[in-house]
Amino acid sequence: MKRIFPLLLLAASCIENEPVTLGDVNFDTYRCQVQPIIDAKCSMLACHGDVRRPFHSFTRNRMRLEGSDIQRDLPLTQRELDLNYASALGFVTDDPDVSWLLLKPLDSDAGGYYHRGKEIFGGPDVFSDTEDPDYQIMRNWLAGAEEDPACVYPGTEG
Amino acid sequence: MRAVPGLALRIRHQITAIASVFVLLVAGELHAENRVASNLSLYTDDDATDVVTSVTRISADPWEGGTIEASYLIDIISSASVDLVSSATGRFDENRHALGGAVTHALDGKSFNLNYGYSQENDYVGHGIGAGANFELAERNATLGVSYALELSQIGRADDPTFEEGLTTHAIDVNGSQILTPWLVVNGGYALALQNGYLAKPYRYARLGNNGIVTQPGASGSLQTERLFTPESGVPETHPDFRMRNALYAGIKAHLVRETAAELRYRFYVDNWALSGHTIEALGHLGWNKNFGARLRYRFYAQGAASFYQFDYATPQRYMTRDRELSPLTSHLVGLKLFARVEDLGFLSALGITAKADLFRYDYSDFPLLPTRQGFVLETGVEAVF
Repeated sequence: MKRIFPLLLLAASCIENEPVTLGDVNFDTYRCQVQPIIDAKCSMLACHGDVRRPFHSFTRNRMRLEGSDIQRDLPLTQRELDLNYASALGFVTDDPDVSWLLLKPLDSDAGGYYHRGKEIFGGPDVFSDTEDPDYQIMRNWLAGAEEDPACVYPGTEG
Repeated sequence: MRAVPGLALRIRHQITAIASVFVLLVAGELHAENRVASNLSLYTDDDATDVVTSVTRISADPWEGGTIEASYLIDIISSASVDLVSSATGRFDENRHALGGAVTHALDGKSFNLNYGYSQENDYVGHGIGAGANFELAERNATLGVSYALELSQIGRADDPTFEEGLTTHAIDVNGSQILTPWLVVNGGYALALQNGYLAKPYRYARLGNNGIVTQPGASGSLQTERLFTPESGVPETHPDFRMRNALYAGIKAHLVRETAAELRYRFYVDNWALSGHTIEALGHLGWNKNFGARLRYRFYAQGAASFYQFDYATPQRYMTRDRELSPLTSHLVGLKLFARVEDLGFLSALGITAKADLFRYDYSDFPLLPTRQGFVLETGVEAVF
């Protein structure tokens, strides 16, 4: 047994688990171009406006990080935008065309993944095909489009 | 992860028909014991998971030394466990079906077996084949057993035809036993499993970051501040695609008086994910005679975490998991089993009945969503020997 245990422990040598980067994509493009799409099409309370969802998003008049009922309509805070961006990054890969953030809302007939939202609401998925203008905006963002840092996210102008 | 209405019933009818044909085919050549056994069990825990399992086995000895066995199992699963609820997914109900068949030939202290198994649920299909051999040695004072199994699995995601992954498992087991004295037997073995393929779960998301308190709208639409273990992001679980699992086990069994025996078992487990565990089990076999008895057991299990397990990942890692079974945990199980066997009942040469109850508790020291899980398993079984 004295010989066997070290052999087993050797066989059980730890695997490498190095840090990785979740998508090197521009925050300002997300803030000014992608967040409005998610606000309009994804973050309803029954959908991704629920913090328990792996992908979730804070949105005015819906799920908020903090505050009272009468404050729900205030512009998103920087912290909320940061968290929304971080949540989106969880579904971004280096190759835009295999990123879940694009393929989940893309209709399966157009090559997208299964998306329960399509079942819930019926009809085509969020993006019926890859020609959808919002799909193109999100794909451009994932492909590296950079926005002017001075851009204004709708609702945060004042 | 929803069951297809009526599917279970249809498959069960098909299986019953297949089993009936099997019995008719072998019945004409029966030379020795033929058995039909059925077990029904109920698992329930405080993590809102219930499983009803029914297993039916038939076996026959159609030639000298030969045994053929067929089995059918169905798991009826209903769960709203924390794994689901914490991802805003509701309860799911599904059935798992498993078919098995085995052929064994025993002759002159040696036995060889081949087996096949098929398992199917709405997001999983598995085929397994295996072969084994057992040898009696040293004038039947010792035994040696070896076995190999190959399992090919296809893993899907419920309602998602675009998701399909594969997993291949090779398993080898070498074991032996030795009678030391007329009342003392020791046994031990080594089990190795090599798994290659998709080892994560498509429904689980690792937790990246932690916000602590989040204002979550309530059902009425009003804001309610709840303390939720809220990740900044849920990242699809990523596990290494290779796992080498090793287990060394040993036991000692002492015959005491009449049909009474005491048994102690130990198992050491370690794998290449740096997860190691120890299992200690003590059993008491209490028999009034060979046909009536009871078994008491207590089992303790403790394990460390896999090297890449974290409840929350502060920064993204190559491998991230939310599998609580990869977290440090301890478990306790206490069980009682009663059995009775009556012989020479008309056309039956014997009838056996068993009843079993197990109580268990798991403690997860680094999984705040579910610090403990406890529940019980109740099982009854009947076996008819012709």
